[in-house]
Amino acid sequence: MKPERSDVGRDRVVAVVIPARNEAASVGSVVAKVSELHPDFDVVVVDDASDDQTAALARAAGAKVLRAPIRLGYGGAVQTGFKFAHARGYDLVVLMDADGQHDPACIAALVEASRSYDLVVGSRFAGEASYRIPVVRLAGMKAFSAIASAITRRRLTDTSSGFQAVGRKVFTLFALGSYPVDFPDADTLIWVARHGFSIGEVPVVMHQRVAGKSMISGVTSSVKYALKMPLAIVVTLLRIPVAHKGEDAR
Amino acid sequence: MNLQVRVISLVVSLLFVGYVLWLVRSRKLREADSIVWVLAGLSIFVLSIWMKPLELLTRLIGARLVVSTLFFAGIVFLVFVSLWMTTRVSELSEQVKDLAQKVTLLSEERPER
Repeated sequence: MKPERSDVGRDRVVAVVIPARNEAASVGSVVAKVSELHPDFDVVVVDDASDDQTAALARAAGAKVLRAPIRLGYGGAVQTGFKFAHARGYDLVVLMDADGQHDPACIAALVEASRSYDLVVGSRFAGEASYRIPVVRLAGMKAFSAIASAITRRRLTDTSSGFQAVGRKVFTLFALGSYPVDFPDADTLIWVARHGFSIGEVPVVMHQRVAGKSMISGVTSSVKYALKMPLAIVVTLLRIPVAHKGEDAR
Repeated sequence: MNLQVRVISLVVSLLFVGYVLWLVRSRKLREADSIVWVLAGLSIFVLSIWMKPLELLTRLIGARLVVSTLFFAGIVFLVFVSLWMTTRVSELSEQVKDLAQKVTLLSEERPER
């Protein structure tokens, strides 16, 4: 089955930002599939100081590659993508993972929804669930989604999703301001909402990863996640929203 | 406090300040970062000779022994120093991240085809 090219988003300059660390097994096919579906979009792989062939394979598949000299962390790599998009004048950033879990076929829906929302989150739980997550982690994700929903007064079902369409106003906020270096989650969504930006959700299909392992794996990082998230939410609520006035006009 | 203890703390504080100055001289420590340690060393030096302020403070906080005051002050001082150090580490991490991101943005390699 040959995927059909999509005309969605052709009137806008769109960058598909793919942070990747040691994803040689999957990054090539992800880049190729995205380019095939959306030939007008620029695919930008932020290679987070990989030890393997991630950068070379991404480039061979047709992506622009930004190579970090030292490990930035997931959030640091994502923010680099936002800084790139901000500097180069992109209208929209589609953020997705390099491990093959995010289906490139869902990009069109995210881009389409981004006409109505400043930030669109691809939710694994808003639609059909074919995705297995350890029970404890699922409970944590649901809990933080519930908290974020209550605070932002919007229905958010999947705050930890790394499959998003981020409008220029929102990625400018992250490019010029701060962005979590580890796992951006409910705190970043609350931060976006506090600036008065709209947040929408579309269901996305998640595959089991082709390669690699979850960023949050093992007891230590799970505990760290469970402790860090409530703290990050509290701190986000204490921070004063910023206005990057005029900085966007270039 | 007896003479022996005072002499020892006098010598230790002098050696400490000397070591701090040596670190600054050999550029292992910046002047700005050394101030807090020089002041700490000098305070111990002064308190070894002239214990009045310490006795006064002991009475003020209601402690029974001068030693308790010393321990309390020492622990509070160390806690704040380490907290301050952590803020410096955070600041440096942020700067390193920003620099690394700038380098990353400059590294853009065009697609091969």
